Amino acid sequence: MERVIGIDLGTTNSCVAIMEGNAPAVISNRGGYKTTPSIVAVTEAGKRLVGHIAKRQAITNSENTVYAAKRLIGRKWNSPQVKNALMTSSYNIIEGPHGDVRIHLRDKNYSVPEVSSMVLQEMKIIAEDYLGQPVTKAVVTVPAYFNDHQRQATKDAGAIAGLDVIRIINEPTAAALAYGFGRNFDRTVAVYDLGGGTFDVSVLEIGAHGVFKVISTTGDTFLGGEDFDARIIDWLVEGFKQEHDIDLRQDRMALQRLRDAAEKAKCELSALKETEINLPFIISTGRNEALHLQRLLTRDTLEMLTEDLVERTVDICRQALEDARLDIDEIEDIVLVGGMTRMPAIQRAAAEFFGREPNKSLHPDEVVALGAAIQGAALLEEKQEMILLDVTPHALGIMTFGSHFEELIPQNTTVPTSRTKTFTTSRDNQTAVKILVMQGESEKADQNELLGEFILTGLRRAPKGEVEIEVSFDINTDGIVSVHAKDLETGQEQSIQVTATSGLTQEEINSMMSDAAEYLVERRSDEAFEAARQEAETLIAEIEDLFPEIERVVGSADFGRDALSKARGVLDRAKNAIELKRTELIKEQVEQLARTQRMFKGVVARGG
Amino acid sequence: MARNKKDDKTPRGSSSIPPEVTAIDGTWDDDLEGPLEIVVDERGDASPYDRVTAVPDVPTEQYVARMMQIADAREPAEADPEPDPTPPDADEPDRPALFFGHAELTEEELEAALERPTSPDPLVFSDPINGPRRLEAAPPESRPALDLDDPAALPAREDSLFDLPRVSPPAGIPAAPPAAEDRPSSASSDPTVVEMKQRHAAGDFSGALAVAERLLQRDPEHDLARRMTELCQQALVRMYSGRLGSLEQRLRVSVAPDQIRWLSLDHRAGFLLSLVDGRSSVEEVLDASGMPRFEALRILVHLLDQRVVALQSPASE
Repeated sequence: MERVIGIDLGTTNSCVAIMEGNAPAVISNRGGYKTTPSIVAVTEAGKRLVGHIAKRQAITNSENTVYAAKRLIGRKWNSPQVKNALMTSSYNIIEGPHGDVRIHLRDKNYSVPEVSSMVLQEMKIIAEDYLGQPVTKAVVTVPAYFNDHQRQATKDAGAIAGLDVIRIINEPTAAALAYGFGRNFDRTVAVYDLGGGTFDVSVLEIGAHGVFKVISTTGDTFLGGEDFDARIIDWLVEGFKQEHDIDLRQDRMALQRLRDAAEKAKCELSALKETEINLPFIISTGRNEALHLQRLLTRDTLEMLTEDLVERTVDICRQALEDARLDIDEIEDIVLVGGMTRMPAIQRAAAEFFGREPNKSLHPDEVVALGAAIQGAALLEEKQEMILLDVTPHALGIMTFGSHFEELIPQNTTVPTSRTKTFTTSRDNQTAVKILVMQGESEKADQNELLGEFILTGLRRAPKGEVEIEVSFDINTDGIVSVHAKDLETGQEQSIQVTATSGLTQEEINSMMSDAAEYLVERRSDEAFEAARQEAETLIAEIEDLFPEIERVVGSADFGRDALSKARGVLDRAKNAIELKRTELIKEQVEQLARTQRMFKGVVARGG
Repeated sequence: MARNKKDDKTPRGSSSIPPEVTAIDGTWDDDLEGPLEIVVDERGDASPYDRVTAVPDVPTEQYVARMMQIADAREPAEADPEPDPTPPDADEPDRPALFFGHAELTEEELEAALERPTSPDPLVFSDPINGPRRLEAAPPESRPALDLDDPAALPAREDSLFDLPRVSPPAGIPAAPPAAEDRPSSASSDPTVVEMKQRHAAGDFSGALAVAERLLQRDPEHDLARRMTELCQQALVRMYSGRLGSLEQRLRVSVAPDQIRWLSLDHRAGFLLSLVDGRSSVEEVLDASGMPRFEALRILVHLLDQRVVALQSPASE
């Protein structure tokens, strides 16, 4: 039976879920965690690390560890967000061949979708290990403010990972879907999403019969749980410096431990009033001694250290309501998303601002993946009773005379949709017009994103303003934008279909898909070898343990010595197969080893 | 972790066959003889797992002390079949140079060894990339001594455990020396270099490494010290890996949290210890350490020997 997984591809953590029967459920990874860090690293030996293991060496191997790739995906090299990342990221960001962004790790350059595909592949593997079958289809969530390029880049990342991304849906929409699943109500909700690296607030209308509509969305892409961790680290470093006059930030190992300890303490303080941070041997002095760090952090201290960050989230909530043109009392429920919303101060702030207690019925770090799983199952079964209306995340229009932006389709318009406007010429005797299709909210065209362009020719020579040109925008259910321009007098027309690109050519994507598939095969092969080796080594150890007893019982007889010799031969062949790393051979030897073990046990049982 | 046992053909206990034992089925392993490769060691035995292991039978300190004793003594040890080693002497440059405690390597000899191309002798492991090589059992007289000091015989870079050569310092039994007339001899005047070579020749790789690092601190361009560092690290990686066994084993902390600070550790050991959470394997801890593998292995083995951490096989979970 084909399954569709729902993936929350987060800035700091990702999560995968699936429909189990009539309810969605998150799948845990091998370590038993429900979320996996969205971190990719390459070690000195060229080994790829993804997830928790990559996070644990993120500081000691910072130049070759990629985090928060989501901030870069689908962006152009010269965008302000990339410039910001250049200043703040520890890994090497370089310009790609198509004006896109590449990341240099060890001796290779990776595109951002390729890096994100490694995280998606990890989620795919988690799902396949759980389901025991291949998984090829997924619904992936993105922030509501992602433009077409970023969405396409996310789809490309899925394709590279071997996943057919059948739908990209907005994260607040997915959260609202999980919130409203199984309930039939009409409600306006606010989704307060404070994750590891970003903060987003969205206002949605949940209509009867499962119609979900995003009215507004806003946020801060550089405000999240890591900023709270940074405050704790600052506090620890300053305290240690005052006591020992040593700056722990100068030592990578110390900084890695501080970061892990800060995050752990922050999480603990959501349930406890105080917690001890204990880091023995945190730094060595020049006098051959190591110093310890031990401090008690209280919840009050943490709230004092992060008060401004919490206040910032409230300011953004206020902005979201203004954009939605709603009053606070029109918000009927608050859905909390992101692990940081477990912090009591955050819950208090949200409750105080919205004037009601937030809904805590859902796990905040799982809710988006659960919503994606629900949508995936609905698409697979083509359930019509659950309609998820997508909206255009940004306004669409064309550039007009004087570099102005003329909006045809406003932001957050539900799709499918179609709008038409009539324009005219700006110069006398103008025989052609260039239609520049743009996306964004600025009134100045050069501050918005160019999606495509085309030229309509054959216009009648006339004074400016006489010729009428009708421009139509059409967006279908898949989000494909078509723009059509027509000379109303002559009937001359021209059109384009705007296809978003991620900055990668199809050839590049195919090559990356091939690399990803090879990596998966190699990994599965390694896993099969390890499993066979462990089984063989367990049997070898058991047989060798039994040898003295067997020798005592039958070693004096000819047939006993012969049997022992043959047993040694079996052991030698098994060890040889392990050394040669031949999985199939090991499996064959496991059968022989199991027979030997049974025989030995039988002899011992009878002779002992 | 599999344990190797020497083949002991001496029957134990009673020589009579218990009446309850049924006939042993001797056919259960006869059909797998052909396609398997049995790797033969230098003595031509078909039981490679009777070989000496990477870890000496005696603790390193005792082994080194014994070898130094042999080197200092003018008479062979009673229980030791090899000839008496001659101590290094700067005033006697013509003394034949041997390996493994018999005499020091002169600097020229070691440098010549460093430049020597890979021996065509099939007993010399040279290419870890293609995996362990099938060893051909050759007549003893045509088989040169295994030159374990020859850097060309050792892998040029660190490889996976399964690609590592399986020969290491024999436990107390050095290989036969090569012909003395083939070796030029000269004296080394630097006592630090002399000590480094002595320690390496005696199998004290940790000691030789420490001396090499001292030399490099003094002179970062010291080629011999740099190469010796690589050799010693490679040998130690093999020894440490052998000590740890399967890298898939889980690590757990054996000491109570409030007792950890009373241990004698440095910040690197403290960092490595912080990565041990009871769920991560040895391989994962090594990957997450961000340290050179040799360094991380050394610290882990130290923590293991101090019983600060313990290993747990994933199969037993």
